[in-house]
Amino acid sequence: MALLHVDNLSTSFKGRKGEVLAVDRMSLQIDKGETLAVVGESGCGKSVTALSVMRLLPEPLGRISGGSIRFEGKDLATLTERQMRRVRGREISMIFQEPMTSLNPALTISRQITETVRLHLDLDAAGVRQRALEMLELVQIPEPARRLTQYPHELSGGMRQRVMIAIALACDPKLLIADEPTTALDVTVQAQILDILRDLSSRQNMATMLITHDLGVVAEMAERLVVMYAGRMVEQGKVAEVLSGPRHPYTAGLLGAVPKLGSSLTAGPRKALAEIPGTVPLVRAPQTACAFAPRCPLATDQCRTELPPVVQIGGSHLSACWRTEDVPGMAIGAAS
Amino acid sequence: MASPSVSADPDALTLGQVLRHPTIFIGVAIMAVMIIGALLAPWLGTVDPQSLSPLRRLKPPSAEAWFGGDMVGRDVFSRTLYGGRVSLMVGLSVATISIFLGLIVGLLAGFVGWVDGIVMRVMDGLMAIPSILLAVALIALTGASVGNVILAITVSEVPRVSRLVRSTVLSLKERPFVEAAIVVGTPFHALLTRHILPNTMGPLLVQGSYIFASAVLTEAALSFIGAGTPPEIPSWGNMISEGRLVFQIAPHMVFFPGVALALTVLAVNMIGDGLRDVLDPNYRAR
Amino acid sequence: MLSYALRRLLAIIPVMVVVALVVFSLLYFSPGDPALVLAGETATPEEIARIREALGLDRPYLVRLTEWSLGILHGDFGDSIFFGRSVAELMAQRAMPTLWLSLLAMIFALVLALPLGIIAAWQVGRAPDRLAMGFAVVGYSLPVFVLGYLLIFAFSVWLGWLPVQGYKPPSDGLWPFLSHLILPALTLGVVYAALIARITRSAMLDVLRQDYMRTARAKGLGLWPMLLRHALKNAAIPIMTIVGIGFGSVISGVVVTETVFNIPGIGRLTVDAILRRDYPVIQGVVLVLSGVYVLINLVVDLSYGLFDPRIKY
Repeated sequence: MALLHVDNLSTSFKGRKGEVLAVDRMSLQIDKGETLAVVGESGCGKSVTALSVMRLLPEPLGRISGGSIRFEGKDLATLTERQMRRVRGREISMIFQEPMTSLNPALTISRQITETVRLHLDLDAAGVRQRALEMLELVQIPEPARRLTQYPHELSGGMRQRVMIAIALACDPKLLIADEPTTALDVTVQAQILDILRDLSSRQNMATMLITHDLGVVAEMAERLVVMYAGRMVEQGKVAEVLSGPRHPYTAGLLGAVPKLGSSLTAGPRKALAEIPGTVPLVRAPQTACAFAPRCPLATDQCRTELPPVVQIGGSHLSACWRTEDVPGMAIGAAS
Repeated sequence: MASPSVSADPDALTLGQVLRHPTIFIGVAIMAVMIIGALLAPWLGTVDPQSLSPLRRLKPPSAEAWFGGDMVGRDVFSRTLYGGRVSLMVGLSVATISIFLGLIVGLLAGFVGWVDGIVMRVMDGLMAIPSILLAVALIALTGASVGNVILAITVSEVPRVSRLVRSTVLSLKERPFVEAAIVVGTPFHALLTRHILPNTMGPLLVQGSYIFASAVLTEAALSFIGAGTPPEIPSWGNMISEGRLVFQIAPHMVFFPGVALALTVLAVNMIGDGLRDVLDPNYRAR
Repeated sequence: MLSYALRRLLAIIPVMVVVALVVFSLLYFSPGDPALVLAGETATPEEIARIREALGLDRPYLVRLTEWSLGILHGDFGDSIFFGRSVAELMAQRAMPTLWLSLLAMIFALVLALPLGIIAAWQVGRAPDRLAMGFAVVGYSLPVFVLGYLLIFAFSVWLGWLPVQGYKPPSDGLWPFLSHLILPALTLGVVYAALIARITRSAMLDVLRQDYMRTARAKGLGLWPMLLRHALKNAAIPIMTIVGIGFGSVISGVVVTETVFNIPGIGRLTVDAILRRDYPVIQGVVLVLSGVYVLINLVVDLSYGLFDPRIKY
């Protein structure tokens, strides 16, 4: 049984011109200890999916309007705020994109790590401090004892993201949600942070939901991959399967700039998602057609009028496309 | 405090838009009642506010004397209406004069280097004196009169306005379009009317309504402690001051002018708050 | 830190010099003859001459200014015309009630304003926010003396819970002392609270938008640890600033409140001095209270480092 099972999740936001469906009947699963990458352009609902799981939507503007989020059998979508507090930081942790602003500037590093430990684990004062030190060592911060007394502004961006990881993992969560954890960092620091994440998740047998738009990161870190577009899952499967044989034109488009999977697995420079002309549309009502059709080189009238069903291509490889058969024949780069 | 965050060109707003803001609307409505009451006092069922009638002495509100009578038998209703004249005149005069003077001082300080140092030190000093105390010191020497009250309150408000204007000028001078205008030798008056004034009007309008409110309050407080409007002129502060000795037996003497005063100040503050909202670009983006 | 504090302390000297100059020069540059005004309408020529001499109006401005300034540096503010005693002594005698009153007012204001501002920010746009901000706008629109009489009427005359007016020193027992101070301190505190509540709300709103507040929620923290530990400390600087600036309204309010409640403090001394046209006392009070105001704002300035570790002196 999956550790996390997001089923038909819909999340809507109140905007100036009415409701926007940021996530529209989205489903995904993560098994124990597994790393799942969630990929898509910005605005396609990745972060909102993650925030929905954490129940951190900016209320009252954003709310879960349908579906369920099953975590170890309980539905997170229906928990009270009080019950949810025992899940956050303990069962599921989250790290964010902006290490520079995600730590509280007015509190010491020690305070920010120990408060989570004190909240969720039954340790005495010495044990709490010991745990904080241990965590800083685990994320390979030099001179951990001195760092504990410092404030965030005395640390570099990479160091701050390590502290964020230390905070997130301090209570041995079963699932870590990492929302673009390295986007804001420079390349060498990115590699170090990713190494730490991979190392710790396998050591603690922790599942990871890694949100990224960097396909190189996906190839390096994840076992499975979910591609999102306009708040819906469009393709998912094992990383190797999907990257080497995409079966949705959107995925193929994203891969346009990464022709050979092998090259990105080696130490070569990572590529961001390829540019696809057009932008992700704002969805206001549950979709009744393929949202990608306006940008899709393969689109037919059917695509523009009927919602494509999810088709099983083989094993765990799924695609939601009317013309999934024709995707392998699509000229690479045709979309760009 | 919040005024520096305000920056907008009021031209883009129509009067109707401004009045549609609920806070401003309520404020303007209350103010309208107060102004009408003060201006049209002679025709609103009042008697001579100074006329004494032994029958009215300390009488509670009744059909004959709507707000009751005071300790020497004057009609509290008439005095409350006439008293509004002093408050509104002080508020309006102080707001206008201090905005005008503050604008001049602020512009001088913002544009003329050597003036800046000296004038701003003096302004810092003036701002360090709590406003009632400065007014008290001035009036104690010059004697109580409405003109002196206006002068005294203005002196303590000018520094705040000039600071606001000065900081606006200094930040505008950094902006590329103003810098360019200075470099190409735009005449000063054109610079002023095209760039500086339009960008200061909004914050000054907001500041002006707060000054109005605080001037009305200060005048009343000064009159209350006996350093304001001379006792022979009815003013809300004077009336409350007279009523304080007998307020346990004749609370209406404090109540009615007190309510009028509080409502007026509330209305002006509401207009100020509303204007600040409306002129704040963050608010309008919502 | 120490050198910064020292520099800031030095920076208030020019401010105080201006205050002193203004207060002193008013006497000389006021239109008309201040001695006539100060002596009152019924004064005899002898009295006017006596006042003129006591204030040194018959001597050159600069000479008097120098003497007066030197005196102040030695704690000598001149002598009261009415009492014939030194102004410094009079002020010292009246200082305690005022100190207690403003201290209690400050405590009331903070206890009232911080929760209001915090809750308003947390519930922004909803009923608690509207209520709190409605209270704030009414709070700083209500004249201190009107509020004072309202409270006396409700709690003393009507309910009979508290004494109407007067003052009892702490040596008379805690309850007599407190019961006489509660209403005046509340009266004085409300305006101050209204100012602080507004700034607390807007500072908290800024902080609640920050990424680190999302991090705090993601840790599973409860509402109050989040608002108090994580948010309030980051909102502290604007709040402290208004606590300092708003203290001016407390000083102005003291003058009125002590009159309403008949408290023998500095404020009452000021009002009596006005009614008796005792100018040296007015000079002394204005100078000392302005000094207190400036010092409080200096302390506020120095406190910034406690709240924001990024500020280094």
